[in-house]
Amino acid sequence: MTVVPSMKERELNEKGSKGRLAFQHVTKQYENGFVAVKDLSFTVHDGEFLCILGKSGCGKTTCLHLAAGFEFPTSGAVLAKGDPVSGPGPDRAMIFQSPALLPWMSVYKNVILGPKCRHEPQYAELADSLLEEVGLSRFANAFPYQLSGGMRQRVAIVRALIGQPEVLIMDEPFGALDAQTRLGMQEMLLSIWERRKTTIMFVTHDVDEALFLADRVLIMSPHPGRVREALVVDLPRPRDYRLFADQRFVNLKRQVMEILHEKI
Amino acid sequence: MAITSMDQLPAAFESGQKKQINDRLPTGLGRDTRNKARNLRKYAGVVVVLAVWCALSYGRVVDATRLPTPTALWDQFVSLATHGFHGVSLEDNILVSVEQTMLGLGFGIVFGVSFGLAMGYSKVIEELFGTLFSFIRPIPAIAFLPLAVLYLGIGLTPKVVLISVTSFLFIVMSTESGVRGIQHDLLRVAKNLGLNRYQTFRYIILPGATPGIMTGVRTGLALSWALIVAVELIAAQSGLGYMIEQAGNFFELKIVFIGIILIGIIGVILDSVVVLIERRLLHWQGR
Repeated sequence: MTVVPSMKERELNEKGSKGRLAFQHVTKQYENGFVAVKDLSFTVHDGEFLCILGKSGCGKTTCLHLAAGFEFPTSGAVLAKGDPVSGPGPDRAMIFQSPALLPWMSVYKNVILGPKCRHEPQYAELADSLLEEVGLSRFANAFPYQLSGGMRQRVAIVRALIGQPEVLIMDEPFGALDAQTRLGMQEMLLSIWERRKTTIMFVTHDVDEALFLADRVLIMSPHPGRVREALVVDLPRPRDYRLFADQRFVNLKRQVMEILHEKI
Repeated sequence: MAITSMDQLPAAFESGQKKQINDRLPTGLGRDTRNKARNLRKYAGVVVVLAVWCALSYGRVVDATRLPTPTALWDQFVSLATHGFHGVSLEDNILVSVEQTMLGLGFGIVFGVSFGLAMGYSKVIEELFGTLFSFIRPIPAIAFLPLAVLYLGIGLTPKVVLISVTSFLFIVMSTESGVRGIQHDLLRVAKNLGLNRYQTFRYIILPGATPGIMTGVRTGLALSWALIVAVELIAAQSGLGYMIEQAGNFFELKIVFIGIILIGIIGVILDSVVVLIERRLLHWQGR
């Protein structure tokens, strides 16, 4: 349980630590002049679960769009395995706040759309086993409107996983769910991650969620968006709901709350 | 595992049924009773008009030469259906009107959907044509009729052209707004999954625009059907509009009434066909 100052984090990057995903002095200014993030540097390490925490407007989503390749930095570089990100790709699968399923396709067709369009072989078995893993086997032929919010988001997760991505980029994926469903989804995500150790970059404004999931939390501050603190969450794994009452969790949460509170 | 315990299976789906809002309405009445009440309300207007008609005509409140009785109208209908009018059979008159509407609407759909998709997809194309279309759209197509007759003569061509243009303008508009209404995240998903341009169009743009397209087709059909009759009143040698026009000239009031009623009934039938297709295509909206 240590707080690593952002300066130290920055030095780490400059030494050339490669990582799955590296932001190097990234500034993103939009056409209207708004500076979303400024001189942002951090690395998402191989197999790491990184949470980016901050209130709305602090450039969290911009970070994800830069990592996913939907947008490009005004200056600085975003590197995936050492190479600059040149555009979106299934190696960096994105999961949005809304499940963004295609409502005109069944669950199964939604899930296999990517590999089918990329002409990859043998996606059918993978689809079956992934749907099984998230408990949706029986709903393969259902349409999105027939599913609950949590089920839809699980389909979105399967759709991302079927491309066997190196990084999962998640933009407040559980933000719209009720508290109980959210906890279930968080536990499910952890078990998926623990089985695969896929690198995850996860954006949230929920302190509990960040600490529950992450190996490391980057706390961002707004105007312009920058990394305020990097916090290592060395809580034991596997984690479940009992963690929320754990004294170490509570201490860490207090620490984060104090950092967030200072800014206001 | 935690996964199965959090399954919130919508009960309706489990039993293999679509959600029936009816079943969830908190009311003391049974579903049958409620459906009956709804059907009664649906046809109440028609029943009232029929009742007033019967009262006025059978009661001789209005003279039979101005308002025929339902029985007289029915007799006239039977004779019209067997003998035709002025040498043209009723089926032919109906078929001519329906065929020309469908032909015009067909062109309107093909060009309207293509243009609408292009305009929704590309801001440049929208800018190039948008103003022009917005200028023509509010002009009643019937205003173009003299020009159409002058340039294209009377017959099939001017009618089909006018109907095509009218339905085109509305289908373009709603197809375009259908494309623009596609959730932005879906396009991001397409990029993220590595779909190429054709695949994005095939799996996302086209199905996503279908609700808009169907709204346009439905509006286009209604306008086209109204237009064909109006055009036939003026420039035609057959069709329901022509029949009404001729009957009016010869003071065959009953035939005028029959023509009007048939236009209404056929309009409703055509619309129901489109609604049926719409339901099929858009079953995923879960309505």
